[in-house]
Amino acid sequence: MNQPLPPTPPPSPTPLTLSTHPKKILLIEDELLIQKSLKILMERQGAVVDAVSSGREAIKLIAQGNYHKIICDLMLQDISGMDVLEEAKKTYPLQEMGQHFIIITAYSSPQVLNKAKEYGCQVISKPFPNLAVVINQFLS
Amino acid sequence: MAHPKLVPLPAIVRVPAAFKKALRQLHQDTSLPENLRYQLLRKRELENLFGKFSDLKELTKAVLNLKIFQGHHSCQIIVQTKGLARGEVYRHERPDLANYYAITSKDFGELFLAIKKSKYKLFYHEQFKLFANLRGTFFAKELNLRKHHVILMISRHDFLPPTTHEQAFFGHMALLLGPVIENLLAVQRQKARQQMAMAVLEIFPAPLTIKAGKNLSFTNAAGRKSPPTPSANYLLHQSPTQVLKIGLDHQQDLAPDIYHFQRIQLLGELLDTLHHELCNPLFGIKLWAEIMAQELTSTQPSGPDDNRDFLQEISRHALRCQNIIENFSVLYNDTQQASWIDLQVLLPEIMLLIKSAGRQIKKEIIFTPTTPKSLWFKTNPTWLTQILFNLLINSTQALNEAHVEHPQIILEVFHQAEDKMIFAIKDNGRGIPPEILPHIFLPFFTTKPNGTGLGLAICKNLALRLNGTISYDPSSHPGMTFLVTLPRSSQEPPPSEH
Repeated sequence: MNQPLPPTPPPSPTPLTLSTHPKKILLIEDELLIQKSLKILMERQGAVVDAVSSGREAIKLIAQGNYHKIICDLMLQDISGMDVLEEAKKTYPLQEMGQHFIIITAYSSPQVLNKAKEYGCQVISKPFPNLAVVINQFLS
Repeated sequence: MAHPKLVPLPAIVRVPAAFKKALRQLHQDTSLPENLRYQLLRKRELENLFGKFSDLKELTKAVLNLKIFQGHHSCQIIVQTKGLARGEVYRHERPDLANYYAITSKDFGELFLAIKKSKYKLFYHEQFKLFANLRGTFFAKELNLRKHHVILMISRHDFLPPTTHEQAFFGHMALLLGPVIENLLAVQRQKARQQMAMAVLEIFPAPLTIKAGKNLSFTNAAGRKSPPTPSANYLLHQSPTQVLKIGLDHQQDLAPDIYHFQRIQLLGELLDTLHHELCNPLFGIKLWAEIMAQELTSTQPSGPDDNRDFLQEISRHALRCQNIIENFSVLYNDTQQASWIDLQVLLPEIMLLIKSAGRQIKKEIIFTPTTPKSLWFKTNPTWLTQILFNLLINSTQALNEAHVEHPQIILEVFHQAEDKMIFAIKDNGRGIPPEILPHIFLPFFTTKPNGTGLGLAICKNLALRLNGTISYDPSSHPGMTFLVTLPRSSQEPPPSEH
């Protein structure tokens, strides 16, 4: 109760996009054009986005940071996205994995879908059929 | 009286390099705990797998007795000799139950493909209805050996998920067992060949005596003046063609199916890779072009439109490339299921496939049913595509050889009665000589110097699987007309799709 209150933000001309608590997002995607695009699109909606290409880097960030959502590609250069999820179980309890993780993949086999189900994670196939809807899902 | 006996085989006991390599890899795999690596897979124990057994039944038992698999309940090895129309299942189950039976090459092919596609090589018994005796989770690995396709399966008979270590160990074991199985199959093959040769010598009508060294000698039935041994006798009462067919299925000729399966497998793999490697960057290009176009609009709302148009072109073309790859992948997936397709979409795509082969040829598609709804058709699109593609390619080849003045291919679709859909593929080439016509659907019949003679045989088998037929129109002159007749579903196409 001794904590100082955070300074009130100046009135913003677009109050809808920027709240006092911007969503913190981690984006793991090794195709740079996709990574950059999605980062920009989410930032335009007021999110704070960390973007990485490598799975190992992502694991480090997940262990440190508090992310609302982690958007993870499956085919990474160093390790697979599934390995990242497996590792993230150390940070998040299994029941919460589904709230935090969204899997994006260009190749969704039945095995991938099964595995994702075990974690309770949503799987979105690339290319996204409707970009605006997907961006909203990322930020919901 | 000397009974015929088999000359003992030289045992193949040399441990091949592939096995040594797999063993080295295992012992160097640092992701596994060191004590386990050496404890569970002792070199001596593994090397003992060589040369000890005379058939795969014994090997399945020995594998199950390895320390590493002591918690497992059953082991089965399924072998398909490449080019033969069946798979053989060798199975051992605790405490001491051995089975051996055969499955069709189609079942084997599907199983092999499913396992090959799986990344974790871990399955549940519901996934494979083929094996009623499997329960719970099991590991399976496919091995592509020089002369055989092999599937190795190990089951614990429970539903607990295995640890990652178990998974890694199984992967190593599969690599190790590959050369062991290959070696054993070579011994088995040699033995079977020898038995066959001995049986032939035994029933040879003239007296024969063979001596090899001091102790081995053999005199055949005619030389002994006694009836042939039972096993040779069996051979004697078969017609020559039946003798050739020993070891083959008594089902219809399945060679086309085998080739078909291999071809689809290859194409499927290629397309999967292409799909992933191209779709991802294309998606990135499209996204970025769209963002740049938006940016331009917001910064220079009244500026020149040229750049914005270019960017929109870029994103449109990226989308088009994506769609083409997507469609190819759908054409060559190995689904068994029928689905509703719009022939007005599918047929132009198939025509696109022969674009380069038939560059000089005029191509036309005629839809006789006029309502769009009547062009919705329920079938297996992959198989239909393969039938039509094969026939169209044949026509382009015929036309390219015939040098006619206005080469033309017409693909016509019409209904016969309410329940049949007919696809007619017409070309105006030289046609097929009447003396050859009766043979064209036979496997391995070909008039092309580099042909396999399987194209039309595959088409015929695929049409049969779709409960349809394939025939030719004998009255079509000049040129050739093939007719593919398929049943129309009595169901209505789903309302969302027309």
